Amino acid sequence: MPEQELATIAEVEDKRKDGQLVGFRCANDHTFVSPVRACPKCGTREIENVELPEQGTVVTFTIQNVASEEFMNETPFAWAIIELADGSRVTGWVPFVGSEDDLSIGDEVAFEPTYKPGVMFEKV
Amino acid sequence: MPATDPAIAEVSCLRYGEHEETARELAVDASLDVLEEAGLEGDELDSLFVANAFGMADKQGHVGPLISTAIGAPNVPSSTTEAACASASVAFRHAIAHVRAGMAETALVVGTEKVSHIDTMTATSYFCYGSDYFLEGGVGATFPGLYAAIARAHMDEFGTSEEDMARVAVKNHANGIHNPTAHFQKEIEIGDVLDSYEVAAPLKLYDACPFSDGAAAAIVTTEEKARAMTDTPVTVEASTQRGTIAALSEREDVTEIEGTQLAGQAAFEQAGVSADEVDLFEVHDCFTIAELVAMEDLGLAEPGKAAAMVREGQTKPDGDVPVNASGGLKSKGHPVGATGMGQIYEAVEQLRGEAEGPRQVDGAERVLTHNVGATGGTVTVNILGRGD
Repeated sequence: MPEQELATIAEVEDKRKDGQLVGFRCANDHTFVSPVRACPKCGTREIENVELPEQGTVVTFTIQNVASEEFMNETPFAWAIIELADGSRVTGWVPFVGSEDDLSIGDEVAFEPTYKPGVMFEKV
Repeated sequence: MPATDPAIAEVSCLRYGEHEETARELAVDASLDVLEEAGLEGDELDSLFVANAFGMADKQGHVGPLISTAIGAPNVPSSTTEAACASASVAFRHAIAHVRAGMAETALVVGTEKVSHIDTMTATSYFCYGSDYFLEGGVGATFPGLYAAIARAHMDEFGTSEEDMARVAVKNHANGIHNPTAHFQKEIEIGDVLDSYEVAAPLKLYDACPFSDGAAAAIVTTEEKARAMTDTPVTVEASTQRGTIAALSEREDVTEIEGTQLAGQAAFEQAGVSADEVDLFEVHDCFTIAELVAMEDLGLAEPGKAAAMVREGQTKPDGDVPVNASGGLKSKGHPVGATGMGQIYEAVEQLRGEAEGPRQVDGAERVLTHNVGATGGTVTVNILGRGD
């Protein structure tokens, strides 16, 4: 077992504000952003905090024309699943995406720290 | 000690749609209906299982004792189950487990929901709380957005089109016309779907089920007792539940829901039947894409091939593989905490040959119900059969 304390959700969110995406990686190289304490894929409890790359490509996305309370002022925007350069997957939102002409699967995006809610990415 | 086989004696379902009553009142109405059908008084129950997802909308938690009190059975043990959109079918499984284990002989399960009094944005936000909020709702995804991400991946992988999805809505609305409990009893065409407001591209308003109020209930008891209450009991041939990694982004493949695959395989094994021997599939079509994915995950179609079956009319009530003869969530409606019980209500109606008009599947002997919580974090499958 690693000595390192695994980050809490609050710590993950603080790091994002400082411009760093972080997650958790198990001994068998499975990476998660949700605060797992045993690996959902292989069950090992050998997990450590890991810094994640800031750039990746869009795996799939939606254009949100209707949003929840927190995001009501941002519509339309895209919510996307993004595969980072190291193969790990994160989620985030991309501002100013109003139609399919603005974003496609496979597009390059980069993490952009913001005072706004959630995790924001911008097209590269 | 041999396990006691549980059976469904009676069911009830209020019409889905907009109701003035609160969730607790709807639950009481559905409970009294099912007690009357079964010829029972409230105090003859050994357990009450309630399902409700959005109690916060009514500023009311702990609804079990409110319902037991109102049906004249304040001392009956009660509990409330929350598993997002699968709450009711999970509560149903709790009743099955109690009867099977001998902890209760007769249990009432009631699912209830009331959302029509809150505005769309508040309802949208409440739904977000059913996702992995840290990765999904709190990062901008709404529920339509999550299923839209599944839809776009499915389109990219298999060439599924917006018309393919629209056909599911058209078929389910055509079935819902004949369902007196349906929220919408209105025929629609493909163009109506394609031209409707794009809520979360590529999904449009008519790809989505409505927010509904409603309640549905069942009496679950031993087979022997069920036979004393009715000539047409329904047997529970299988009842399974599996999970999937909660957040879409942490799954290997977003074009499938692993929990459905696992719960489906386990249910077929438990019942000792194959999909060919099931006459109707009531699946969780919260969005049109969800019906296609459910068909593929249950093994009714190869991955990417469900849309062709819908196009060819195979999934209509008179087709080879009827899916959502009730109208599904799409047309019947989606009172979240009641939905799983509503599916069981439809299965019982079908098995008794009592479904109205052309939505009745001729000679239905076995019905599968499939209920999904969120994007598959919870999945239940039941296979129900004629017990007469």
